[in-house]
Amino acid sequence: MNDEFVITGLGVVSAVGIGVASFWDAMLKRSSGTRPSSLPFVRIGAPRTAAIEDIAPHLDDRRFRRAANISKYALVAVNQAIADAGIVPAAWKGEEVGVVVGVTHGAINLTREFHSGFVKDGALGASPALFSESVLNAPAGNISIALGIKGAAHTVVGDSGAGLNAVEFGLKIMRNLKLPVCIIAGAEELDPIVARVYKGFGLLSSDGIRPFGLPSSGFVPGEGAGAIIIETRAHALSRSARIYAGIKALLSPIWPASPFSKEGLSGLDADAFVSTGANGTQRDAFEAALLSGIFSSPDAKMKKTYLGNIKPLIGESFAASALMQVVHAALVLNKGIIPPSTIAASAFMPSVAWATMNEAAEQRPVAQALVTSAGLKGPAHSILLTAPGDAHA
Amino acid sequence: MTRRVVVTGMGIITGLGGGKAANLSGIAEGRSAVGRLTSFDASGYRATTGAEIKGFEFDKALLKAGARPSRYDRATKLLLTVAHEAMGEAGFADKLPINTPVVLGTTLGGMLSGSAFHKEIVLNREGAISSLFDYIAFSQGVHVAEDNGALGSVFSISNACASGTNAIGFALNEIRSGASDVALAGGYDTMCEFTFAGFNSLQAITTTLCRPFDLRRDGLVLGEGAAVLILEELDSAKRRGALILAEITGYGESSDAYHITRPDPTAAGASLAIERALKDAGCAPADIDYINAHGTATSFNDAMEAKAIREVFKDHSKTVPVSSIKSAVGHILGGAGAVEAVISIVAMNESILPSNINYSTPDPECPLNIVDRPGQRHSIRRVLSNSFGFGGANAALVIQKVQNER
Repeated sequence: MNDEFVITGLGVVSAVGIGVASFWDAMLKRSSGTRPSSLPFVRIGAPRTAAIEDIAPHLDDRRFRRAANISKYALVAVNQAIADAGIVPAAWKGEEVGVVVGVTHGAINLTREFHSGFVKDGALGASPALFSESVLNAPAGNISIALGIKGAAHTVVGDSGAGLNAVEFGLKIMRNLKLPVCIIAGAEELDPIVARVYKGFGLLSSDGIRPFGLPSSGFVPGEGAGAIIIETRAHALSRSARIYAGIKALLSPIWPASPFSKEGLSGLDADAFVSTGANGTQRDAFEAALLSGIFSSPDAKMKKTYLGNIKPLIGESFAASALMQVVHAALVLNKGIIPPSTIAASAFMPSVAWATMNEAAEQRPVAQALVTSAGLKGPAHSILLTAPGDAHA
Repeated sequence: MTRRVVVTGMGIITGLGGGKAANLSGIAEGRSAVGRLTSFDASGYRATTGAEIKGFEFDKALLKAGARPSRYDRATKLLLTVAHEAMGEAGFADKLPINTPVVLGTTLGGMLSGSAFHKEIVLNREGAISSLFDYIAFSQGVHVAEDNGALGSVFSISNACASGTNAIGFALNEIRSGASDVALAGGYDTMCEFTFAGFNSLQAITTTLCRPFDLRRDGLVLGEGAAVLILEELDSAKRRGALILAEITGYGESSDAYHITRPDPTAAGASLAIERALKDAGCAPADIDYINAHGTATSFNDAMEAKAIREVFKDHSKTVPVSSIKSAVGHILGGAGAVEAVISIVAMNESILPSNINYSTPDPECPLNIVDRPGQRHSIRRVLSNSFGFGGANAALVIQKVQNER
């Protein structure tokens, strides 16, 4: 990558707050957005969820009032990120802008509602409005419509890794299509049926998420969206944009069965910050092994490699979580503050013993932040961000 | 210097049958796979037809050892089948190079499994969660990658009906960039009541015949299928002595930013995608010998696409042959672009124009040279293949004939 791309805007819709400021404040205070669930979730055995209370007041554009929650979350997060980047969509050339949205289950509430209609009432019960908003690319389509994005609009589907998959996809289309600006978002909405399925798979936690915990805790289902604005460094500098972080490297996806290679990680210092995607499931062992392969040298303990995880606070919101991890890492780099670790208090896997898990927030500039997500199946994804100073260099 | 990307293997299954030969003969003869739907009871809908794959029998040997076929969605089974065909033709037997990216387009993923579960829940039954192992629309790509030793990136693109073309275009650029020498790209979707009910509710499905670009067109017909292409860097293919089937020379895309279901009637977005594909291929409109149109047979889409073709091709739009194969194989949604790319390549290599069956009455809004009879011979050096989808997704490929360079 060679710092070809930089992050210039951030947006978050999460259970700990709507907006980057409230998200960061919750990280510093270790405030959790997981709460006792509403009745439909309690009934299916999900006693805690990390839910968004009401998105409507945050979405001014009435064209999307009937859109699925996932679209609304994505739109709100993207609008925040654009404002944060100081970009005025009315002034941009839409053909030179792209958007990539990572999703996992999509507009699952509308999908379920649409099914209910035609199963109960036949053809006449099938609502065209529900159908068109339930398609997986509705959030990306709505964002492109709202903001006049004509360069490219993509939806990348995956599990927790989808957010980082979307970042990788976005960087590649920027390069391929020569787009100076691309918006990357990850979004997910809560649904009791999805929670029930994960409950059935034995993946839900009854109290909270313990990343890398022994024994595994399972996860608390969450929802929301994360969004970042990526620009070519030249474009960002030409308009004197604030740079949160540079994107130094995309690591090749790593599969559990494949030989691990540090290729692409040359130059990664041990005094880094890691925002992991571990979610309290048995899959954490894979991510732990991956990180251990990168950091378990004497340097890591001595130089302090900080291990952070946002999921105990915001829940597991799959594609959305990963984008929020990127926001998390970008804020750490930009502010030079490492929030207290959410991993420290509980028993964790020995394979992450090399990591520093700070009990209190620390003012400590770090030069690099690694964002990882192993998801539930398929390969793990990761990206390496650099501090804004480096990004300007 | 740009790395050239060629196709060294293809696999396809549609309502016309499994394999390239069955599909080529079906297209050449002007056969239609459309019939009364049997995979679910469509009698309550205003439309009742579709292009289903009949009698599909999955070869369990394509699954990894110990895997339970019942846990795989039909979509995965179709995909594994066409991937096997494509890999065999490319000479990769059962294993792809380890860093091969798998790039697939779909609108539904494992929705057949998901829909069955949703229905059970609506009817207040338990619903078997084991049926959901293969629901999410990237699970199918993970299976294809894992089962074929392709441990590179997996991208599941869901840009509605443009997904398959987007997947091929993205894979093309992966190879051009040097990220890999080989990529597996394609698209797939199954016949599912969820989608049928949706398009039916939008009154987008024909109650008569699917007639792309015809004055009397009144809607699309849904289909199901999958297609996979093995893309490879030219020198890599030559070194392996692979049979080169075609070259992908151009890809373009854009977004309408107009409406979630309706295409932009100005055709600005579609025109931009086509122009970008032609520019990427380094060719002029006059260099295109055949256009495989998106041609859904809905009133809005076909008028918009015809306008885009006229805008870009100017006078050449009056003579360049244009057809949509959706009247034969149905609209395969996320699989359409990949299926149409494969059909375009086999037709190009056999010098046969795929026909736009059911076309009889020209529409003044679509003044194109529609291929209205099957079996027409035509020398084709370059094809433009268009795909457009919900959410304003537009994509186009330029595919070029290659002399056998084995």
